[in-house]
Amino acid sequence: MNNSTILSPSKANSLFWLGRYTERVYLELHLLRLCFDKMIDGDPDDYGRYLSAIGGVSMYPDQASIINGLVHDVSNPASVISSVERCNDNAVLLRDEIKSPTLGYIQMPLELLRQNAKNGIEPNVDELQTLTDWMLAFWGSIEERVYDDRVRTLLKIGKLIEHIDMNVRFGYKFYRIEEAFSSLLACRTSEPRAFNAAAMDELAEMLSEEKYTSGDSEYKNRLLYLLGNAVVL
Amino acid sequence: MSIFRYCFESRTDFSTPVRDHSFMLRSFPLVDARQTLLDSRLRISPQPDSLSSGHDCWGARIDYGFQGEAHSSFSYVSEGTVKVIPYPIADKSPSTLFLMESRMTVFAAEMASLIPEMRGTSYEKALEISSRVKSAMSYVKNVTSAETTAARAFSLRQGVCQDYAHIMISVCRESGIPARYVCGMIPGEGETHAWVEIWSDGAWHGLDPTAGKICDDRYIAIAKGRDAGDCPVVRGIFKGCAVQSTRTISSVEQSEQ
Amino acid sequence: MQTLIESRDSVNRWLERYGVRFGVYKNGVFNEQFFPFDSIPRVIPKKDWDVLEKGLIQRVKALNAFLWDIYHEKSIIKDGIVPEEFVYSSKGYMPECEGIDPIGKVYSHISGIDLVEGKDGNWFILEDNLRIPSGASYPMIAREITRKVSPTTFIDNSIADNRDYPEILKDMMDTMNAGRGINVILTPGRYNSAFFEHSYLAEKTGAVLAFPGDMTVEDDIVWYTGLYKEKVRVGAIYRRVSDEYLDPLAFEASSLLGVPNLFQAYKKGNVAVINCFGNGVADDKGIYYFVPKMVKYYLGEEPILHNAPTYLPYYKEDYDYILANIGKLVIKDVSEAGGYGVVFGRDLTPEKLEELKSLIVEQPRRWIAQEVIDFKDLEIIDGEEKVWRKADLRAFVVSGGSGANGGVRVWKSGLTRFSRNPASFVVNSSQGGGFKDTWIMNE
Repeated sequence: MNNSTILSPSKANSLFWLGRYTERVYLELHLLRLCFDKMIDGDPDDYGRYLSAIGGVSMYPDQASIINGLVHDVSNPASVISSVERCNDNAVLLRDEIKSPTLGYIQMPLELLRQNAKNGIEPNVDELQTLTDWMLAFWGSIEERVYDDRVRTLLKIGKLIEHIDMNVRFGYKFYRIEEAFSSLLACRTSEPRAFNAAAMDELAEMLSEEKYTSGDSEYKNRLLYLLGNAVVL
Repeated sequence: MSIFRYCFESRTDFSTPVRDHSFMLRSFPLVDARQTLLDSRLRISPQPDSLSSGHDCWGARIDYGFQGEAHSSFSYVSEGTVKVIPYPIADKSPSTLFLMESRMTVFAAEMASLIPEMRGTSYEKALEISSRVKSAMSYVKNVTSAETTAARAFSLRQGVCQDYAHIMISVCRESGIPARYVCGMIPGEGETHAWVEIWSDGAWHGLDPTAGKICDDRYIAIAKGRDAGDCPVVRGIFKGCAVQSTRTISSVEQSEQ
Repeated sequence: MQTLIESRDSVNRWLERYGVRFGVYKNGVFNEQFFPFDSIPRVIPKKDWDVLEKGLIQRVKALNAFLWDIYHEKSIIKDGIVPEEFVYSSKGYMPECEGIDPIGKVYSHISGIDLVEGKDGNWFILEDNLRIPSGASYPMIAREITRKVSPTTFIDNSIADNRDYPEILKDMMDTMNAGRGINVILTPGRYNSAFFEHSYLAEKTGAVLAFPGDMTVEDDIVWYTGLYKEKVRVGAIYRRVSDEYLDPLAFEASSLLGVPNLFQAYKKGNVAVINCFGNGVADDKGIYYFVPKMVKYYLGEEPILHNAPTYLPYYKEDYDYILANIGKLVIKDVSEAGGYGVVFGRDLTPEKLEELKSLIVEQPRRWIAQEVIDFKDLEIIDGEEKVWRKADLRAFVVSGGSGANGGVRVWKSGLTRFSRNPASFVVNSSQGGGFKDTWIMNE
């Protein structure tokens, strides 16, 4: 019988959010490693800025518990473990689409983080790097095992939206945003109905290096708002 | 024999529009040895995307369908003419199922006082049970719901026709008398009514414990079953977060031949 | 095999990796646990298996014939083999199914038959599960993993390959499929204890994993709705939602897990519902007693597999025996499921025994009694030592496929569950048991 590539609205929604959360985990890990690096030079202002941009730091009394909280605290929605839990919430609903070996690259980080959190192990660079490797392997596994274009595109849309969102929040260079956005436009060509046309058009018009670098907070908020509304799944 | 014009109307309003609405109606007089449908019509609004009909396992007509688009009300009118002859309905061997406890008619020890100690036919015993149910209970609306069991209603000693019928069925079955639930209409009552059919000496007889009467040819059955759970007149399920309110009116008038 | 036992930790890591969990509610909180895996396999010699296989096919054929008969002619009742009150008072009997002809006359497509091996080497049937037998995914994934971590074990031993279960299932779903629609596996959702299995079977059989709300019925046809409201026809539903919740318009009105009007589409023969509605009447604890009689009645054969010696208080002779011997019997409450309504006479105080007796006197139809079978214990690893524990075997029999034997196949595998508590005879996974791989030997 023909099991065509029909995808339910709820699975499409899970794919989008799985794409977003895996990218969030990847970028959070990247930022945390940067923090570790900056701590070596001991300029609290410098890494403090990163920490507060991730969010949720006011919950913790000191530097050490901030780092631990950002990795292992399930009650902090900005922590790595929370983001991996959200990845898992979506991924387990998609086993038949993304396949068990791919799901393994969410299950392994989840189990490691749960164990380390339970055993009170301090976050360290080895742990973070292992997690990063698994997140990259997740995307590699998608590339190797998933041939349904719609499944791949919906995951990618989620990933790109999250990527642009995090880059805007952390003030990364404009060319990174521009690159990701043009990739998003390619997704729009193949899956037009997944997008809110008005939001996408406004984003396309607004994105200019000049305005982006001006530091206008209203402009930045508008960008983030439109990104949050660009996809209708 | 009597001929009736019946009209059953129901309207449900949703506080916000709902979609993907599946429904099932039991809105036609049942066709059996007692009832003949002379003409009938069912109109549903808004016009559903699909509408099918069939019968449930007890013989009642069902109409069911699906409405995908968003809508904020759902209404239907079922009307026609039915010819009814008096009870009994001959049946050589009633299903053992009507002797078994069903979900809503589980017997409770407290109901033992309703079991007649008399000798006599099942019919005579059932008449006695019907009158005991009527005198034990007070007819009070809104203390019980469509989900209330016989035991619960009896412990309250209050309820409506559905509860009276459930208690009577429970006691009949406990006394070894096959009994089944009937949902239907009678002239002069604006809503559906419930009564009981009991089996005695090769036939089903209609008894109305709420009125304390033997059912005559003015009792028009819509659906029958083990208990009210087998006879819902309307059920629906939809997507949307809406509060719904339903108004149902039925009218039955004896028609001149 | 030694390498396999030594690689226990490695096996467990792989189980973690694949997310092999089952959900449990404790005090209202949902938790996911691993189903403890024991690496010492249960080995079933070929000569034993050949008998089991024949006996299981025979039993399941008889059970399917019984279901057809009960919902049609009822000749087994008319001929006085099964008393009608056992059928009509069974919670699993559904009058709504009267007269419905399921596709291919198959009711129980996937049957999970629970057996135990006695110390004397005889196998006994404990119970039949004809509604939603679960557990097939665990031996599937266990084998996938043990083959990886200990390949030499599988080179050195001639073990029947059990990786064909997805093909057996898919073949059956394709054969039953109505109107060339898609196959779906309907799960109640991720908080169901067997959600892992639902999603894993969907992946392996290529069926679509469907959630409540994904399907609608129009014109007596079941449709799966896509992202942009496009619809494809559904031809077979391997449902993991129980009968009463499967269609809120026909059954439990408050159910949010079902497909409205699915029952009407099923009645018209427009979709295969796997397993069918109404099967509960055949796996009722009270009906179990009659299964060997069904084999004779429908197939005209002597039953190959035996029930545990069972007594029905309904029959005078059995009633007297039970009351006289209650202390050595196991008493089962027919109205309960899940291993909670099982009482061993020897565990009860004299007062409790009297209490149980009076319950039996009051409601004889509610109980069955069985002789306690002296199970053959299996070795498991507990920490660093090997210990012996009670175990059973759930065999999976698939009916309605395209092959020989009227499309009935026994999967050369099974779920071996053991109790971790040394005193317990109950091996239910909901009560903390573990599982083993089951090796069916080829020679």
